[in-house]
Amino acid sequence: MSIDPITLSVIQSGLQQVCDEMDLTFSRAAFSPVIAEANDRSDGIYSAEDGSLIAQGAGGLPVFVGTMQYSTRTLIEMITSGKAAAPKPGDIYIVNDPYLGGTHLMDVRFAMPVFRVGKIFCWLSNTGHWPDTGGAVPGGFSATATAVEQEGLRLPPVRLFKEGKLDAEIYAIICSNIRVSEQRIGDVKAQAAALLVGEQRLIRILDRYGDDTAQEAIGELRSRAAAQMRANVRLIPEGIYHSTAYIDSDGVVNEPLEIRLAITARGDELEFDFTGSSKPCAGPMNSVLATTLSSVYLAMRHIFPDVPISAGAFEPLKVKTPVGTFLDAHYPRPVSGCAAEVSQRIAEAVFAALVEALPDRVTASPAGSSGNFALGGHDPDRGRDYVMYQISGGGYGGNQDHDGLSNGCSTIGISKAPPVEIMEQQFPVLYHRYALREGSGGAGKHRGGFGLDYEIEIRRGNATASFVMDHGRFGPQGALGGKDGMVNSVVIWRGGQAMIPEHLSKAQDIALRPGDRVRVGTPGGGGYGDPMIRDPEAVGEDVRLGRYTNEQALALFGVAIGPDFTADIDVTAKTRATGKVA
Amino acid sequence: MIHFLHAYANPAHELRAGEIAREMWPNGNVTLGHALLSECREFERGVTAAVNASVQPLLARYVEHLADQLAAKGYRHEVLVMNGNGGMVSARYVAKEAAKTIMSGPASGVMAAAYTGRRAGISDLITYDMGGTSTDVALIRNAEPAVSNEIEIEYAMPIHVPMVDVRTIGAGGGSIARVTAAGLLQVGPESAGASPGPICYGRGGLKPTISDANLLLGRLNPARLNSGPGGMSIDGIREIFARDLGAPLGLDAIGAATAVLRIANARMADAVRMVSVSLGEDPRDFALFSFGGAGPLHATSIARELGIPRVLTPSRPGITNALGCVVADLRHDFVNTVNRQLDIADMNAVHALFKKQSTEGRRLINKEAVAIREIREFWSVDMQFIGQTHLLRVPLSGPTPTRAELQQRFEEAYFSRFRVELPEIRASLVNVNTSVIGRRTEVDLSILIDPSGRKASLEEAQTDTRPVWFDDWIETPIYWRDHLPKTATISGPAIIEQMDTTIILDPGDIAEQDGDGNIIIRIGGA
Repeated sequence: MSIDPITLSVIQSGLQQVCDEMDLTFSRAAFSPVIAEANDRSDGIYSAEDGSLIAQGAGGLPVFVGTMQYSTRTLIEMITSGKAAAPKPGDIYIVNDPYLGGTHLMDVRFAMPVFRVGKIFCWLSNTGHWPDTGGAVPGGFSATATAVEQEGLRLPPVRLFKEGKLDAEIYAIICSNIRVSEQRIGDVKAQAAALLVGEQRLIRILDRYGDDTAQEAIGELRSRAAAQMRANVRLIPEGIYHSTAYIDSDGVVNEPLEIRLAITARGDELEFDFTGSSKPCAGPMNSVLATTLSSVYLAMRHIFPDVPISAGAFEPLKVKTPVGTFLDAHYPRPVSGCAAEVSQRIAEAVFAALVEALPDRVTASPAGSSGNFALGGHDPDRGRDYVMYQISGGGYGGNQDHDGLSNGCSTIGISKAPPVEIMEQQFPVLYHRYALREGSGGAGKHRGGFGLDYEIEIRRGNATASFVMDHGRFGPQGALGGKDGMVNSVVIWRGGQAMIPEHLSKAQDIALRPGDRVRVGTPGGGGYGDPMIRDPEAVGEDVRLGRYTNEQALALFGVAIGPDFTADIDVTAKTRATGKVA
Repeated sequence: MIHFLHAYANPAHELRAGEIAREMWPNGNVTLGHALLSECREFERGVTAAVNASVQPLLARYVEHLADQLAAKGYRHEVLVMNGNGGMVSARYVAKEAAKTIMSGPASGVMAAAYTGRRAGISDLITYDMGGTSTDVALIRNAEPAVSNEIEIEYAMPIHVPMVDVRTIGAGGGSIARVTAAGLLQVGPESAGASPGPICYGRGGLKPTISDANLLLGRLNPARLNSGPGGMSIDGIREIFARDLGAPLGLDAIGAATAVLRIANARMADAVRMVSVSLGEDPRDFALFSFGGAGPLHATSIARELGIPRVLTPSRPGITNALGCVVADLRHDFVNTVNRQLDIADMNAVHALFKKQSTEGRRLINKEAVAIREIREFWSVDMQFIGQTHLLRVPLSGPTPTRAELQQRFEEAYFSRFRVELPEIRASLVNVNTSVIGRRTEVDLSILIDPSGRKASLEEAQTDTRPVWFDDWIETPIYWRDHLPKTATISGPAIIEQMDTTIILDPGDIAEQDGDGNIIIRIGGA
């Protein structure tokens, strides 16, 4: 290695800064609240040769950690083989085809080549979640779609900006096929502005250190990230680790989908084998390969957060292409659930497989659902249609040292929940309840965190409700003797009658009238370790705070709680020793 | 704390609940959610109120005690307290709105910087306050610090009251350097803090820090090395650098110390750039105002890294925060929400809001009974394109803007921030803001260094020379700040020492002083 380690560190932090500035510009200038508030976007730098990841913004949505390198790679291949137009300086491609290295249609990728002396030095790319890309339902999450055409407009890589100018013709086609298109111009310009800001900053680094030094540094950083991940992998004792995780249903056929995972640890490499997982499904719970790979990477990043994000970090992680399963879906399988739900179940499978080998680094399973609830209807007072989204957090899994966090964001997201005051102002709904979901944390030596419990009433006009959630049939898995977290629950009160969706966590177009209510309980996290050895004082504190009842304390933890919330030592000892409630 | 949904729009129930609470528990420590912050978003409003409720009793007791003690010792004037917005308010009112004092310490330093800069004729500044565990950075434009309503304090708690926009970076003199598993040198964010502190403190710290690197390279005075019980010699520090950092990196101790500073400076420079960029400014248009114990040690390197042409170091960098309270003006900020599409907003109502805010501000300042020279007002609006959630603050030149003026100023501000024009989308007027400022009497800063202590020549102000590492060992002159003749020109490499800091001039830098005794360094003599 000829590059000195200090220049290397400076270039590393410089590249990181480029990505962080792109993230910041994108969020601040965006219109879609999904991008501006929930940060459902990511920006990165990719190699000119094969699109492999050089650096990515620290504040990007975790599920995009691996996907953009595949979309950039596919784009480069298509340019090389003449299937996509060759780029000129100032060109920006747009693409959202899930099967070309993507997630679902709503995740729209932009990619821009950075030219140096007439040659492409690298690519800058970003992904932003557009609020709508057409299709059967507003927002794109159709729980009953059976083909990708029902999910929205699918764009192959085309140059939306040509030498710096927006192609009005392509843009007109896009606008004619999506809802609320007036505001998309703001997001399109924000997404492009982020890349331009990144280019400016990157060129400053290249001018300062020279292209050759920067190139050498990029190669060196990649091999160092690989070395660091290999060192981490060596912490896992050699062997084969198995796990299974279930998705409630695909939304169309009411049967669980199974993820079977065998992880083989050999030396400094891990092999991920999903053989035996369910076949491609009829409904939208299929995953494209890029999302499946990205889900494995993000799970490993949750476990080893210290490895810088670069293609090198993924080198020691070999994922066998899950041919013939729903984790390697091809056209025209519907895929809207892959980024939000399937990805989280894949991560859960990775956690469940590795928690025994790495008990100090892996937690019991988190809630693992984005909790999408969409309500569409007409507000007669304002004389207009509306679409409301409620996404929610859930409990995290307990770990070796602590209880799980309550109402945390999804495994693949960084979103904040929308304020009740904003929702009630913008939509004809009333929240009767918005609280921690008592009793939902899975019991354990360190219990899971608590999910959310909310209830919404429709105040005016008719509406339809759709749900894309999960963990309604099986709760997030407990670990090392801990119990599963409480399952997701959806109850719809229509005309005073309670109704539970047939698919439990998924339903589409349920008709509602004023006065009808929807109550949702999101999953609690899995417990970690045997609940019968949980500190009785901690159980007493949970009861004092109303998180468990006295009965639950006794049944789940074997702890008898007295009137002042202290544990009755004798009864507790007896209950725990005999395993019977005294 | 009493906090109801939607009380920002209709506080009737919250007010009634407050009455009931005061009947049951009669004292002044009941905070109503809408009282401090009357804006939508229950989490932000609730957190702000909760913080207020928990701080208020402590602050009330403290201020009361302070006023009593001062009165007992014969002090006959008003006691003023700094708020996080950089303005002073009477101690009589401060506890009621205790949450507004959050971040007032760092804000005070920024106010001192703005004041010092204005007197020095340098009104665009980036403040750079480096202490033991962290570094605070803020932006000053036209001698006015940037103030924001949406700052998150620790634990990501959003306190939506106006605060001077001070950003904190986890790098200070005590930041620990280590080599990661990937063989990369990393400095911070872990800090040795004050205890055990850097190795050179001699309090048992054994991990290499930024301060230790400065010491090894001769930038800090080795004679001042604190070798108390359990203390470490400079050779001991050198060994630790060689062993912990040098060996894995293939460097000797000096190489490792140089590397630590290079990484630390690059990181701080990146963070300073990020702060200015996020506020839409280019750091090269500013001068760097360096203070805090460690700021002047690193300021010239950071300025070089960012292309900042000048560094200003005030007379007393260690007490700049305290100076802020002496020079800062009285200040009251007002925000009213309009939230209308600009096309159909009632401009008369907007003008009436500005008027109401101004009247209320002047009334409060008059009540405070503090000597002021004049009252100044600053007007701004918060705007966005319809459909956006983030706001952009647009400063105005007067309280009676026309609709066309608002549209034009917003478009300009938006373009300069994002390089984006959006003629397709209509603008929305969200908030109307006025800051009413009572300017206090001018303070002469030249008295901070006793003129009679100054020597006649630069030679007489020189205390020593020592070898300092600037890409090589250079025998470098050391000066005592209080002895510098006011007209002296100092060429780098040089070190200027004083009680509360050490100032480094890199080779090529040129330093001079202004009338107030500030040292102004031109980077590379530019």
